[in-house]
Amino acid sequence: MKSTFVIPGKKDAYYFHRVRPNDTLSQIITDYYGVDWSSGQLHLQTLLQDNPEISNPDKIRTGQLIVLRQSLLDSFGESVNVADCEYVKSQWESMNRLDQDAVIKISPWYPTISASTAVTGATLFTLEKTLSSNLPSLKDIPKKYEQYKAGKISRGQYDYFRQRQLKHYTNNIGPMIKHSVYGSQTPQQVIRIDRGKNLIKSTVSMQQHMNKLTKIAKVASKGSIVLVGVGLAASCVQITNTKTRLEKNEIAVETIASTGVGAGLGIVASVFLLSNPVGWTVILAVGAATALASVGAGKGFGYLYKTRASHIDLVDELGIDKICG
Amino acid sequence: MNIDDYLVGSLLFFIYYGFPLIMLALALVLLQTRTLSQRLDSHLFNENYFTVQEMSMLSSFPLSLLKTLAYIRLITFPNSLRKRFGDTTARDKISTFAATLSHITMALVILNTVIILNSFIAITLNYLLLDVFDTASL
Repeated sequence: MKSTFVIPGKKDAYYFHRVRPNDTLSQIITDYYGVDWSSGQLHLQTLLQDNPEISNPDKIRTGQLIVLRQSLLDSFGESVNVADCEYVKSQWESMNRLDQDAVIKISPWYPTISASTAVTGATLFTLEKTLSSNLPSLKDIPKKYEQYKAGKISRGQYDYFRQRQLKHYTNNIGPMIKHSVYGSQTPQQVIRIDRGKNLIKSTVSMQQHMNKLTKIAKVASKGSIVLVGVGLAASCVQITNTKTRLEKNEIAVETIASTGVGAGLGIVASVFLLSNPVGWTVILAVGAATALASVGAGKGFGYLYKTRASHIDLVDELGIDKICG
Repeated sequence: MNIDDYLVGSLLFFIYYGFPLIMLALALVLLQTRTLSQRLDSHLFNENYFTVQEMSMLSSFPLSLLKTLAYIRLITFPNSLRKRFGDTTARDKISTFAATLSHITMALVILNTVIILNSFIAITLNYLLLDVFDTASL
């Protein structure tokens, strides 16, 4: 499992590495910077300077977060923003394992996700699952980049490797995820900008980035609960706060109808339309039609109740008042 | 039959029976997701029957429910999924209880299809009568 995430700072970006079982500082330095341990003493010195809580290089604990500069070759002599890094680490310690995993998985796409207000909890949940299963195709790109920067491989070798991994990744994620994450840009464009450090050079504090990233991760890691709970809870609140019986009943009918038809059509469409291989266009069309139909059914049944069945107090008969109260 | 009775009856039927039946079908699908995956994934969830993209999408909840529904259809109507699974069958790889549960789920899915279809007919008829023909009944 990937164990690194990147957060933009004021001048540069920082990698944060979650220590895995059996990790050693020498292994981490070799993995990140592509240098042999014999020539990595300066890297170790810088790493210890950036992580003052490590008093003994031989003692690091599993789950601990370690700051690594994006490229030591570009930033020797500069100091990291200690306060920002400490803030990220304190946030990290306060998260549970699920949220920590989500931060790591979502981080590479965070700048684009946070810029898009159209990304919903549902999309994030699907996104998190899809990306996490496809991340292995990208995980070696940063290592190759560092090797290229260190002069160990040529620009052509790095570009070939990067393009091959990105092509594999792009083919796997599908157009819906691609659009949610990258908007009108291609993954190649976004990731090239990221690697070139233009996008991640930001004037916004790293603390703000961490706060946003934490919020997104919490939504993504709890996606299924959000999906199930939000709609029904919102309706319950509405019913409780509505004064007239007619309005309470209309809300109840609309909620039951849209939830039922949405779930029912989802099952029916999956069985009859999606069980055989179909293209992405069909999947998107079926998804959109199901969503529209569930909203339409809610509104339609609400109207039917209002015009023909308003003498029946369904909220009272079904005990919805008691459940929501 | 009075059209008003049919429309109100459709609404009440959906609220009292349709919704619980749909939720029951969903619960059965959720229940079978784990058991069918354990039994059938090793035989069917590979690149012979699914594309790499599909395998990536269907490997985790909630999209794994689509895979479960495909298995249920393969168990109940094997000939209807020839395009994906060819001549492969799943019935011989699962217990009688699991097969019975799949048949019950499929029956519920078909019943739900009729209920949803009827709901849309009632909704459309109500709109037509009140908004297009400007009358409460035929």
